[in-house]
Amino acid sequence: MPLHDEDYRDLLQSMRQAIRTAGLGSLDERILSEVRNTEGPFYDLTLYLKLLIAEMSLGSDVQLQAVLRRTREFAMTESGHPIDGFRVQLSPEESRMYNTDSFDLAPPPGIQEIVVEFHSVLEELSKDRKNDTNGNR
Amino acid sequence: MAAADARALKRRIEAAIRRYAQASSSRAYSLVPNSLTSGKLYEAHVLSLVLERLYQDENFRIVLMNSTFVPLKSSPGPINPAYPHFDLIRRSSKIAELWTDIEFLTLSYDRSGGLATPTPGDYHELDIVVVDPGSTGRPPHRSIWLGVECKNTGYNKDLLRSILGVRRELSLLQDDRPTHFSKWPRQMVPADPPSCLIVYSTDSAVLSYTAPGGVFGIDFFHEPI
Repeated sequence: MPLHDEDYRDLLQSMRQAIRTAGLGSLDERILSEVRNTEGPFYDLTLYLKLLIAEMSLGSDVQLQAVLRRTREFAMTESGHPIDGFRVQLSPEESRMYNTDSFDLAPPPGIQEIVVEFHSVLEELSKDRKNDTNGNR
Repeated sequence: MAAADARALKRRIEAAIRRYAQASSSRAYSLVPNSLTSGKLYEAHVLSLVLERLYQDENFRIVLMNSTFVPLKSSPGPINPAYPHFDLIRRSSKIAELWTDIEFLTLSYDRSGGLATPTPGDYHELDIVVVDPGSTGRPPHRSIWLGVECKNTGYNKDLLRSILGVRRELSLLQDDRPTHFSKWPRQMVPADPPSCLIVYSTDSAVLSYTAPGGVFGIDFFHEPI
């Protein structure tokens, strides 16, 4: 069965519930603050997912989020890929002391895989919607 | 194509959210002391503000070259063109470059002939610089368009004396002349060469030290993070 408006509403509701249950209520609030209007349940769900992806890709450190968001807004990489973060190169003395040459001010490792998973969900929803609209079922 | 399965999508979404909550609770940079990370985070904060102004006020397209990570160093050094930096582009042409944690060769070194191997007194560091395109090594004072110092500490008279020394080694005091910028940070500066110099500090006390900056062309900003 293709998905319908009721499914979209249910998915959005359960996603928001899962976010709040995971202690990420402020993330939900930030996303909602970006939503200006509604154009139906499919639009609401996919917009929420897109905003969720954008927020998640910034990581969870509030100060770093703000800095990285601003940096990405006004600068880009050569490939057009968003800037991943900041890499701090340590001095030789510090490298010996902390046993590492550098550290990253960036979203924690693993976040990117989760972002890719949400992109995949978004893509699946869009394909399903397109096929349903085209009457291909 | 098979129809999407609402229950399967719901499970995937919920699992991804749980993984995100777990991943985001860890700090990747917990190996180094907070003083170092907070200082560098402040530099990143100021850098993002500088990028914003260069984009919005100076209409630069800004591209991070040679990396997807913005470089910050805990000890400064010369420019290596193979290292990550920002190109400042206007109408498809590179107009200038922005580097972090760079040492420049001083005006006094230039005045003394600039031929001997520079000693530590012949160069000084700046946290953020905008320089002539194609600069390599330690750029001479005349290649500096903009220097920025970021102070995530209490601001005091020693820091004022330090930035006055940097101003002295960048330019001579002159009547106002046009900078390389149309609007930000300044159109005019009382300096030759006409480099701009800015201090950002988390300490509101920085605003007590602005008077000499008005004469020598140094802009002080209280900028909490």
